[in-house]
Amino acid sequence: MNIATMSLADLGGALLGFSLTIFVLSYVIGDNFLFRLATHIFVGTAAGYATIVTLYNIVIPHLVFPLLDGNQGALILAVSYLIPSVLLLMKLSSRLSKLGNPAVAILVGVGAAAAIGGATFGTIFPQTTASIHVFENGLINGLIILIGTLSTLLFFQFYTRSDEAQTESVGAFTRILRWSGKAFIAITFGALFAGVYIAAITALIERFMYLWIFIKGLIFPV
Amino acid sequence: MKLNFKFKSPVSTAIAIGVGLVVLLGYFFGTNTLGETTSLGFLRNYLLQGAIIWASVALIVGVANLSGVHLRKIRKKEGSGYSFVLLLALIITLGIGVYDIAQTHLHGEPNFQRIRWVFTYIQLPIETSLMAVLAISLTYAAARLLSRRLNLFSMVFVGVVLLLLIGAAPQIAAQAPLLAEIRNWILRVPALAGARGILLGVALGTIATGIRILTGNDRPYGG
Repeated sequence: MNIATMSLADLGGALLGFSLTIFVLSYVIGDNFLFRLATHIFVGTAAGYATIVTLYNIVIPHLVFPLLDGNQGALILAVSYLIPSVLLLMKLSSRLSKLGNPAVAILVGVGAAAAIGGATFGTIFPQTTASIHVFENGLINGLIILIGTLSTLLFFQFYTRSDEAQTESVGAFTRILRWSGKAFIAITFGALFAGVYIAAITALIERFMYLWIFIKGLIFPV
Repeated sequence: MKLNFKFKSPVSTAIAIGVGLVVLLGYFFGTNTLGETTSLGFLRNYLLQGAIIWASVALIVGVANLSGVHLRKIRKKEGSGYSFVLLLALIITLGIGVYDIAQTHLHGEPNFQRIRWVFTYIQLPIETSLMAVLAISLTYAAARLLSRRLNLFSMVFVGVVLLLLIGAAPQIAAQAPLLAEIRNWILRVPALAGARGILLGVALGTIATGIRILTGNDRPYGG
């Protein structure tokens, strides 16, 4: 960051970024006015940015341009997408919001089906296939992975409320498996925690570097 | 004036089930034996494409709702200063973005300089700083875990965290290769096993929730 060669817009931006960084890091001394100010700015900016990206990449090319294009096929397609979109916009009005329910139902129906398909083809099949080939890592490691996977899965209970009484009367073997599942989950969460912690520490170092370089640039501009 | 016609729950439920079944069946019968897309496949693609567009419109509805909530807060003077700042940030960002889009389409200037400035100098510093604050929050949370709920599993958790963090330091790993070996083994074997179990559990939960929606037991669309 060479402040001497920066344009006015970039200099202002760097100063804004510096201030916002200080505001957010002030949370270390407790929840305060500056932190809340920064988070509200963040929510407003992020919502605006997401809207712009959505408008530019999806809404304008798929709903607006086909209407102006003159291509009849594209026009019919766009109108068929536009009708549920307009119904969705009805959700903004408390009086007309029920008109938006069918459009939300379409969205939920497609989403549920896509989630089932994604979970089946994207997780269940690949993870099961990987579990089948687990002994390629060696017998002992393979056994540990297999027991760990099964016991973790067993730890999650897929019962309805009426079945809850039955869960009390599980055998000692199942209880031991669940106990070991809990241990595997603790190890996995520990590994995930360490990964997130390293990423957070990296971000902290990057922010301190940014602050230091900015201050250094102000004191020694060249 | 009150509207007399209403989309009652059976209509919305029937739509959700019908559309969901078409998309789901399209996964299995979307192509024929020659690999060509069937009419079911075309319908599925049409609905998936539509879902992307409608989800985008839903996002815009969400942002409009957010603005409405904060406008109401300003009117009622509940933390109105923060709400005002939020709305101001939103309006400025939207204004800059719409100007950039107009510049792109009217004058062929597709570089989005202004909105990129907002991203680089406002969003990025705040996001990275929040991530940085997370390091302190996580340290505090781990310390609280040990002081408030000291049992075998919390000790395993903290032990794994410490081992992986120490093992991640290149100098320590070079000095103590056994530690690096143990770290790699934890990541490759027990952590993998737990992660696989969790992933399978989440996938089964997702399928169960999806089936509840497709059978009309759950109706999150206000039906």
